[in-house]
Amino acid sequence: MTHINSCMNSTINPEISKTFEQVIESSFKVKSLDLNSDVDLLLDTINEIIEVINLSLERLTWVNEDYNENTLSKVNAIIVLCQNMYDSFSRENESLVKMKAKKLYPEALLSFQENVESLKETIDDIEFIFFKLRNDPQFLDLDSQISDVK
Amino acid sequence: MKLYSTKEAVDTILKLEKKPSHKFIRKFLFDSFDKEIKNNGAFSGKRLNPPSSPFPFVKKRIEGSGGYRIDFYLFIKDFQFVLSAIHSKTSAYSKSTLTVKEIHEAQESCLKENSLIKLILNTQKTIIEFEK
Repeated sequence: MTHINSCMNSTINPEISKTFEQVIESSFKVKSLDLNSDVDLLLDTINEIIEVINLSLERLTWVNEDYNENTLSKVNAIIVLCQNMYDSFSRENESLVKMKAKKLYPEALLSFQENVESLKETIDDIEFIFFKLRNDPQFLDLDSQISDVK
Repeated sequence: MKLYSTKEAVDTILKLEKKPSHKFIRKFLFDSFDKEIKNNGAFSGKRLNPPSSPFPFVKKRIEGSGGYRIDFYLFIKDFQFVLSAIHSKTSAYSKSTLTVKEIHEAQESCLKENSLIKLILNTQKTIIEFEK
């Protein structure tokens, strides 16, 4: 198994592997969050995590790579991990809304909710770009026509 | 750096700015383009086309206070930016994202070179204007 993983990693662009590692690290940070800590501090930490993930996912779209099955599988794993984190944040949001955190922490909660929404949009965009748009013949054909215009 | 827009994107801006929630859209666009020019549009936003393609086609975001958000789509070709599509994410005429079909339409509009409209950065008013 280790050998298979090592073979797979050897064909994957290092920037994609780096993003994967960053997302794993963020995912672990999310699992280690102390949900009973001060709400302001908790939301600040989550906001920072989301910022890092959003930036990493955005950078992924700029990685020049011939996307083979191994690479796309890694991108898919990144998306799944991010989706799991989004689900955790959504559950946290629901519980904060239930405990009426809006009254106590109006700004922090709003900023958190905006960031969670932005994470969801980024995940959807990444999935759309890698698994739909870049496989769409008409999109690629029009892109090539635009490149050819002097 | 030369700035252009498709006619469709200009029409959307004109439609949006009639709504109170979007009355500062041209100012937001000025700030955003000004920033783009300074960093040459490089490596920011989500790149839609494969990086093997010579000219980036990028989805970018404008964020204002109170959750105000606008998404716009930009072709960056040599020393030209072409604003190919724009839509609101919040309040009037909002939509979550463009469909594949709408992206095709934005690309097709970019190919109509004769109908592209030149954008001017009015540094005194800090808004974008459209050359008639």
